[in-house]
Amino acid sequence: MTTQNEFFSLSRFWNLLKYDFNSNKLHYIATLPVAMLGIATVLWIAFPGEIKMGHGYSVTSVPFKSNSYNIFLFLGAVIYGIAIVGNSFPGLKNEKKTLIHLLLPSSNLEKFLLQWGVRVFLFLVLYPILFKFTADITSEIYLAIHKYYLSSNNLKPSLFPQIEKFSFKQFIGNNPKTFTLNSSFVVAMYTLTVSIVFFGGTIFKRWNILLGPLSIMGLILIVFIYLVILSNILNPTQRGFWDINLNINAPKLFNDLIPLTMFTTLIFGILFSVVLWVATYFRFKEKEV
Amino acid sequence: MILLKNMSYAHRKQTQLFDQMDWEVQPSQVIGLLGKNGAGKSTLLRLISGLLNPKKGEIQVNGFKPFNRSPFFLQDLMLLPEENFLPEKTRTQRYINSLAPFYPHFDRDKMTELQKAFDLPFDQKLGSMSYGQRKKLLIAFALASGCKTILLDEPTNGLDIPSKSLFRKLVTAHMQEDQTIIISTHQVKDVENLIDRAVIINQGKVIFDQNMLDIADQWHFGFSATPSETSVYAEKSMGGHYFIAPLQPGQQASQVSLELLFNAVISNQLYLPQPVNA
Repeated sequence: MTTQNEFFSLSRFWNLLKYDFNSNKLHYIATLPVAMLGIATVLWIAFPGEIKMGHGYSVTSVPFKSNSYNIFLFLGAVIYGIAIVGNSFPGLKNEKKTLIHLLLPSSNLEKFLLQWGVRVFLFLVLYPILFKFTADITSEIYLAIHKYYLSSNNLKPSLFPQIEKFSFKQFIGNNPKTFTLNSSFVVAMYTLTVSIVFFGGTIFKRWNILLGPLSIMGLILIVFIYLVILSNILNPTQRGFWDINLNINAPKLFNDLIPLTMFTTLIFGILFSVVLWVATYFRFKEKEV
Repeated sequence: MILLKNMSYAHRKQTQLFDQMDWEVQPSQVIGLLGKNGAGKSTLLRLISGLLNPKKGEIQVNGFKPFNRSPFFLQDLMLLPEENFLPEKTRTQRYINSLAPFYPHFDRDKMTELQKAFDLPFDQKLGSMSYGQRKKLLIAFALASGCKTILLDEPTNGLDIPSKSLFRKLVTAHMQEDQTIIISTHQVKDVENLIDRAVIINQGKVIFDQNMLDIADQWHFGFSATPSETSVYAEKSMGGHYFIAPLQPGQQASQVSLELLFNAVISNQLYLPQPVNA
């Protein structure tokens, strides 16, 4: 008589994890260094100041502030999100692989959780940490090289590029009242975007690389329409229907603690993410080949 | 035990492949599943293994509904598809080690024995193995898995002549008491001396389902310059005719020719009792 649970067993999950790692070893091992190298290269090019071999020193006057990283953080999330999360369920990429994957003696829930854990959860947690870590190391190395160059060429210290360290505090703000809500809002939107690409993995298969981003654009369109409608409801006197005239911090509820617009968007983000995970599970469970 | 009750299945936008099919398979048998191209042999194996969901009716395998894909069902079922996938960069032993823990009755000693018998490399990248070697590795894994139900789809495709004969010997030698092996094949000669029961499907139904011993007891498979007067089916060949005739009292049972039997059944020229389970 078996003592294992039909839906979830740790020993089966561990076997599945080992099998998945063996099958995608190269991919897993290469992902972190390749991602770091990509972020570092782009930041290196974007940082102000340039040492031209044999042609002296060129420096831009624009300092690289903490918020200057944001565009790269966002682009990185989109590109790596598509590359990593968009490749969820690698076992479903073609008929032969799907057949092997579906017949592995492990429950549908375990197979789903493995993908959710490795592709969604780990990506959501690791990407910001990886970005911060890479940005810090890159800026340190960049500045050290410039410091050495300036001092060894007797150049003015004022030419030293201004590069701030990247910080997540800028997204949260200094007001402790809005701290939790702001951070939850950012996390919810980030999670929702990743969840869409994850869901796409079960529908679009290998075309997810292309169709996943289109789905994100679809989401942006939905959010835009949502804001337009909300804007028209809250500000009926606004000039044009498509104008968004919305104060994200108003109206406020519960003793001015909770801004309704942000709160509803947050709820929408969380709920829709959960719906997408459940839909992904059922899509996988009902998969036929 | 495999049980199909009024099972119907159709591929999307296509005509019905199986229409209210009934079939029953008791354990401890090697079954040859035969049918013309497109008869649905591979689809039937996929339905039994839970890769496809029947549109109507019911399938039960060892007490499980296959499409639920319960891990307890899957750990006792092995499907070897005609075209297989193996991770190219992984080495043989690592692959076996990562897959074996899923099968509680997996026998490592048997696997080693089968690898030796099939003359398979022990630690080589799967990508550098030939098609036939990959197939032999998967056959060896299936036989060592200890699964109650083993479904083999065209297992001898891609095997050289010595390997085909070895395949028959190894299946016979390593089959366990409680196991059921279903072999779907076009290469009827390859399984002639291996199967206990021949099942022919055509137009969505089981049209023939008999034990090989019963067939041999009922029919005589012969070759002569002219077909026997009592023959119910004959095929002209170089130098004479292959024929099937009812076995006469006192006549010695002959070796069953699956190819002849299949052609006779498909062309409706063999008088058939109602298939056992149809």
